[in-house]
Amino acid sequence: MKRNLEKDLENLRAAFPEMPADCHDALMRAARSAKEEKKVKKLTLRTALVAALLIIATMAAALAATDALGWTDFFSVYDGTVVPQAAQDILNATEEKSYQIGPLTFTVKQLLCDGRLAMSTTDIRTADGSPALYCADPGDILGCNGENGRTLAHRLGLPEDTTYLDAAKQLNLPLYWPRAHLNISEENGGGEGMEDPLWNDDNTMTYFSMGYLDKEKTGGLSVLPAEIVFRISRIDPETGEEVADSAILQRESIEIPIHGIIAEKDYAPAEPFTLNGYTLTSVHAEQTVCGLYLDRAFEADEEAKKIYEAADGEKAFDIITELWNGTWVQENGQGFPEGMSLSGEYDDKDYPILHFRDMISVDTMPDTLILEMDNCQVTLK
Amino acid sequence: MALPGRFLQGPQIFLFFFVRIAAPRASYKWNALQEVMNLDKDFFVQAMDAHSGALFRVACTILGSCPDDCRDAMQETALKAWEKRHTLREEGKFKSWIIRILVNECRNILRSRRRLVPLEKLPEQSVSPPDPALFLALQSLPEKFRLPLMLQYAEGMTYREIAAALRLTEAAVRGRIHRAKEQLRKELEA
Repeated sequence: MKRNLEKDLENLRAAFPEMPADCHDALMRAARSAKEEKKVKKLTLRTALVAALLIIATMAAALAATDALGWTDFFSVYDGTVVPQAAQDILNATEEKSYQIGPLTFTVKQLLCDGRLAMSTTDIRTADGSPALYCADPGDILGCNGENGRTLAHRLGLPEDTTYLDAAKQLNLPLYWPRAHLNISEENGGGEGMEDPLWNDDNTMTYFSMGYLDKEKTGGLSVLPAEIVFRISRIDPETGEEVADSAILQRESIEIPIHGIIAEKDYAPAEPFTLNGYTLTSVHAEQTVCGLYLDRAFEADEEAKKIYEAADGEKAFDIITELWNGTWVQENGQGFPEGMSLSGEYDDKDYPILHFRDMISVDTMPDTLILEMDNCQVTLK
Repeated sequence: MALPGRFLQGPQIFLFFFVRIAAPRASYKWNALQEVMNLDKDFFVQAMDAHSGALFRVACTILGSCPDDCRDAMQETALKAWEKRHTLREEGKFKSWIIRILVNECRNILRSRRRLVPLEKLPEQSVSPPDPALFLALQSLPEKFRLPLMLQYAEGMTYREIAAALRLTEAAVRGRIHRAKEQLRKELEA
């Protein structure tokens, strides 16, 4: 019998056996039996005061965010990532520039570059202020962008699983598929990037674009030459196709000042730390307005080298993954917020030395870092 | 040192996305003074129960339909999750957070399987799915394709949620799901 992929995908749970009762019981036993141990941190007047100020600042930021979304809002839905104050100041001081392209106005509201990251936010709305729907993909459902998407669905009075196409049909609104991509050429250090929209309180769109740069190429620059690539197409909700002649592509050159390295430091492990034959030799840290970039170097011993060299791709990847699973922790036991790059990289080109690079969100370089790996900790000073 | 034939050549970038996702009503308490979430034990138990089906299917996707291994992975996940509860920072991220821990546990089990017992000698203890042909077709895909596909279609997770759980970019998730569908179509038509 010929199978229908779409139907199979809809019923994909049929590919899985029912969970045996003993599996469920074992899970629940483990969940209930997990040890309750409370870590209580001493509270001082100073920390209480700082916390109270933080709460007020957060409330103020939340109120401000109802006017225009920015990177702080974008990161607020991520795992503890914060935008350091210095970066916020630069983002908020960006001189706005608007471009009317076809029926839409794109306003570039925030720009920032530290030589490794370049970021932009662009507000997108109809030029005449008329209501419209804006999508990241017409087939997406309204609720697909987490809380922000669900709130949009709620505001529109539609179920979260309504597609943008159906929403446009039901509400009789024009459906636009816009993009405002921060494009950096390879010769200026451009490479991979990410982009994603959020929807504003008035159902218009704020488009976020971040590029990952090669710091070797941006090192000599004080200003990053870049362009914002704007694209619009209008989608016919009945057919899901682009309306004829509605697609517009426009490139606008921009320059973003580079706020480079503020401070550097080499942290050394306070005691030897070895995991699976790999010894942590050093952590090089570079502070910029965007946060602290950390490069930890592990050196393999002879046995580990033999295992790595004999490993196939998947096994080598397992070795990398085990060394990669680390958490940066402060002296007070709290984890550092994830860096704005939301990313990391490893590099084995100097093997037997492996480099792991990631980022934490801090305004100033801490005196001490603690690396937690595989239930062990190592202090670096 | 040159490592011919290795797939790890030069810098490799992982993009880790952590996004807010749907979760049961939570009794999380955000304590701004401690900057950690006091994860309530009752909520933890309820959430594990609510997500138990999804956890089992994720374990099956990685480990196959061997209930012993799935049970071990799920049990260990519950213990590790409670131990690492301070790493869960916000309400609404429980599902991608717990799936990430489970995926790591499943991979640990796969590694220990390789060390301890050759795969072909594993005892034949498995449970049958309602659609065995679909199960076999899905299992024939590489894990990197079948897991995102399963999370999207069997668990209803979005690209962003899958990216958060698997530490991938949304673009990578889209790409993998696209490839998974192509391969699954071929498998089902074969």
